[in-house]
Amino acid sequence: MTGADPLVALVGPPNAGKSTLFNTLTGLKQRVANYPGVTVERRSGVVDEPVGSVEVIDLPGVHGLSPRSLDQMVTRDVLMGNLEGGRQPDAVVLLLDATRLRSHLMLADPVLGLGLPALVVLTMGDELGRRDGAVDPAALAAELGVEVTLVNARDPSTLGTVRRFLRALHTGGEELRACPAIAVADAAAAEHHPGRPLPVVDLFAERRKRARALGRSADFRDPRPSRFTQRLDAVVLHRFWGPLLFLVVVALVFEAIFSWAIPLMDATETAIGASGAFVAALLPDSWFRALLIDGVWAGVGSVIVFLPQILILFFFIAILEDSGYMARAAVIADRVMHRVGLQGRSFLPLLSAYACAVPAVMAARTVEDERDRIATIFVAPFMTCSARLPVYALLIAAFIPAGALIGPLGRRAAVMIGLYALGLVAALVTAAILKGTLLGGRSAPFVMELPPYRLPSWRSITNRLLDRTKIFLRRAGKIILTVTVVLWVLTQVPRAAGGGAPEIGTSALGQIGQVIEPVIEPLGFDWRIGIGLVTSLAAREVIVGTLGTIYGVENEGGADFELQAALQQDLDLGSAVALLIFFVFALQCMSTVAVMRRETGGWRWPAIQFSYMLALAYAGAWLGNALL
Amino acid sequence: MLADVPLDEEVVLVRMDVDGEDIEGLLERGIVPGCKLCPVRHAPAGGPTVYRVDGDLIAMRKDIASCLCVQSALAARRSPSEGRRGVGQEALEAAGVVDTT
Repeated sequence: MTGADPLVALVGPPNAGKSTLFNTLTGLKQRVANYPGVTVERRSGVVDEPVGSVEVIDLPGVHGLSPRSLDQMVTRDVLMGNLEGGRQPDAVVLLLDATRLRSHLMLADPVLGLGLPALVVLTMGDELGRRDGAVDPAALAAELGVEVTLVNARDPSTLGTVRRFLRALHTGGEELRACPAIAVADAAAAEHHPGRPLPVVDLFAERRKRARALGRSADFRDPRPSRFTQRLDAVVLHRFWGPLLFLVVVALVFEAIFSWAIPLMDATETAIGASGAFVAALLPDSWFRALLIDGVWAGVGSVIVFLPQILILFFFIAILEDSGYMARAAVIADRVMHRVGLQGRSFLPLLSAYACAVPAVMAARTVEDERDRIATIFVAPFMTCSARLPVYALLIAAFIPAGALIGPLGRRAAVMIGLYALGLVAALVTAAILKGTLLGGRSAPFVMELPPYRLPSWRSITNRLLDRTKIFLRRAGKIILTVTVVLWVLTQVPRAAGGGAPEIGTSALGQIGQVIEPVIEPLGFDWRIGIGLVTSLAAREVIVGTLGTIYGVENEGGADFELQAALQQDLDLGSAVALLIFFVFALQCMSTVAVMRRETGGWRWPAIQFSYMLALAYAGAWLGNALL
Repeated sequence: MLADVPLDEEVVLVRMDVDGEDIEGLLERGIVPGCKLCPVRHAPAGGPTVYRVDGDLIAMRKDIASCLCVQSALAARRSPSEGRRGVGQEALEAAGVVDTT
């Protein structure tokens, strides 16, 4: 791909089939990155035509171009040439859902009004016909002055006009037309420039009137309401069955993350261990081998282990979103979320946070209201992410005796559920406090469109999972790699008398542990746990490996028992519970902090959150230690 | 107010008493004076209500729905000036809803 390829932007409302068209056009030739300074993802791909390649960018779904949300801001900036290195796209492809043309046509004026060569693609052509709707693309084209084509985005054979349009960017064909100065140019200008000469309601009333006129001249006939959607909604939003189905879906997702993912995670762990051992055998014994295997391999490996779980979560999220269920789940969850000051859209990020807070913080950008978005990001790390699990599992196995508590509920399971509940309660209470203080003010309106139910396409799901994998490995890998290398170096200096690695207690890391010991003593922790807490700032699960190193036990295979025995000598029940509580509350995850900084545009929110969660963790742990 | 409209009764939006900041989210989705709304379903346990707006399904909380002033679609068409004493009549005419006369 060269920078000289013509640049085409895909614009359209959410759920209009933009990503489907993008996937069909570009296949696997896609890249995902971020726009500088914001977390909006930039998806771009290359379409190879015989006359040359065209770079296509898939912009986020928008309802308009006013800077009301991050997505709309980015879309507008790209279209106006303020992003993409100051380059304005050479053309736009405006995607509108043919079955919802009445409202989607409202996007025509602001987008076509930009004066870029444009093609209007009406998607879901097959569905429009099936539901007895109709539209005349040629009449609409005559009215708009640009080409209009009716397609089925999944079917490449319907995309002839789209490809011809892309080719015209090289050949300069007559397909490449900008919308002639349209009657509402003034209205569009009013939206693009601050100062707004027209009152906003009149502007939109005007735009709607024109959208209706356009629809009439294109002989648009509304499709009858989808009977399938109506029937499903009768169940999904039913007074009794709706919430029940919601709970079943949530339980299924949890079951998948926590049970089905385990064999995959075990296999990944084995593969990482085996590959590490294989590479280690090839290298001579040296500091380099120690750094590579004990530092890099173990550190980065500890993150890659979570990949299967995150992919399973995103697989479910992709299905739920693409099928249309997620919007209904948000509607059902809104009641409870509203009570603590959040809203239905916060549900998806918070569900994701049970696997990992990093994708959760990113998913929060679908929350349109800025205050609600920050609140969602702020409470997401309280959800029990999978990195806490190894720590919980180790401590519970070491300190909580097995046996039944009530009926089939075991004591250990009860403690585990209690830890999950504690995190959830902390999140809800924190959200309520935030909305009463820092993020106070009126509550944002909850307005959410419910797309028709549709069968998810495998292609789009596969592409999303590939994206997730790349993003996860890139983001987490970078941070974890740095931190593990730094930590490893701290365990290696100052060198012992013979030139070898020092005893852990005399190493730089050990000295740090002893410095902080007085601070954590009231919690019942000694310097060894202190080091574990310091290293776990990088990522929570790192504490398990660190303690393994400190106690000088091999943490492989069944050796967890040895680590448990060693811990039992250092901690009593009170301090073990204190440590568990500490992990419920503390924000020990540099990846989360880093992604929060980017999402909130500065250090303010991550700093507040880190301090708040640390204070809560300290107080909670102290209380736990004092009471038991 | 829209919040008081029974299920399956079609109404026309005549006035929006919504704050400047919040109103755009509604406007961009086609909820503009003159548009037709029809409540089709209440979410469980007093949650948002789902409305059909120009063929789209849009869920709204009660707090927003009670800021939207509406008039029965039939009344709006039959004798615009009598419905709600002509409130928002200009908006209706501007939006082309009452152009049947």
